[in-house]
Amino acid sequence: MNTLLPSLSRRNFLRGAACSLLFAHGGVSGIGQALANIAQTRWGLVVDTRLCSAECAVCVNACAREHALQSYGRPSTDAQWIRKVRLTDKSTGLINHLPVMCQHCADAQCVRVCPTRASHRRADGLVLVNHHLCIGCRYCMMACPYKARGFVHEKVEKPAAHSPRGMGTVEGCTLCSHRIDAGRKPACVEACAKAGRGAMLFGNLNDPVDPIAKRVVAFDTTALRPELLTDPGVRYQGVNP
Amino acid sequence: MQGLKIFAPAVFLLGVLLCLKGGAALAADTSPVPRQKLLRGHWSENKDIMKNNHQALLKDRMNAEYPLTVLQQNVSIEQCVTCHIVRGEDRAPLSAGDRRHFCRDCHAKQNVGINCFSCHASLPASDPYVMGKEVKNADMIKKRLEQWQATQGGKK
Repeated sequence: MNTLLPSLSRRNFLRGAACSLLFAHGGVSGIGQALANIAQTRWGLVVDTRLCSAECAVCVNACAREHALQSYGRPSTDAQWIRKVRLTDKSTGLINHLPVMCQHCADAQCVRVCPTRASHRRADGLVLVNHHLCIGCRYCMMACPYKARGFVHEKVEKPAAHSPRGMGTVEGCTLCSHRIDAGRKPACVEACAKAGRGAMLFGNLNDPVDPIAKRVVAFDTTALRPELLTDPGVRYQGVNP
Repeated sequence: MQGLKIFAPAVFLLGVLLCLKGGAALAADTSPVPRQKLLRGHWSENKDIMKNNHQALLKDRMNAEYPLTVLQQNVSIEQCVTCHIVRGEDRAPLSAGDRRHFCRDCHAKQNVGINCFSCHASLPASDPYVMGKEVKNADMIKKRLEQWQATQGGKK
């Protein structure tokens, strides 16, 4: 028996009813407003692949540093939340080098297949894994068309304080949710700008004043594998669909 | 014999009083605390409340919906290890691997294992001994900038 559950007395019931009436009537409280703002937000990323080169791995390194992703010298099982992919257009021969991470899809297949609801989509569009619920079945890894999820094979020695990682669970790019919650940009975006490339643009896709939304409207950006209709939050410029 | 007759009820009464006091103390220690009260941080008023209810509080945090957890940043295991930091002889904070760590100390006495730190960090990220060189420099620069801004404001 859970001893922490409060017994519902008449006074508590009336108090709850009054609160819900206030909310329903549009009495805008701080929490209500904050939740409404979160619901209107959709965080996204636009990657200009024309500014990306084959040898640059600034974003990959920044991600590993930020989330304390340790390499054990075993590339097949080492954690990698972003990876550089070489994409060749067969008809034209155009070669693109693009960073691929979790695409934070609106219709995320990983969320659909998760049997424990560990894989979930946050109200602001981020697709995350609740490690307390993850049983490590790896259905999401199989379902993800971008191969963006990975499994923690090794015991994590020194996890970052903001990014807990557990052996036997599935993980993926969180778009640095801890930084976003603190009003900062993801580590990869910051590192890319710092390196002078500025290939990554982060922002709220639903805010028409945001530079990212303006760019998506003004220029032709592409979703990876658009035929799957997953509506990703990460979009690419300079890639033939 | 007469003395024993007088003392016996007194000893009995004393025993009863002691039992009652002990029972009351026990009841105070293990009394359930309303969940809302815990979430609002009332546990900080009395350390015994937290001692008896921290599992439930952490579990609540574990199962909370993510948008709500954004609003409850102070109720996280990261905050626990930040406030309850234990330092070694060289002033560096001790991780859960050390017997003197805040959580480990009590758990070792009770002979109960801790699973939290197999995934979570047991050291606070905000501590100068733990944070990276870049962050430390950025913090220092920010602090100096704030100091400079304060002096500029003072001159005006």
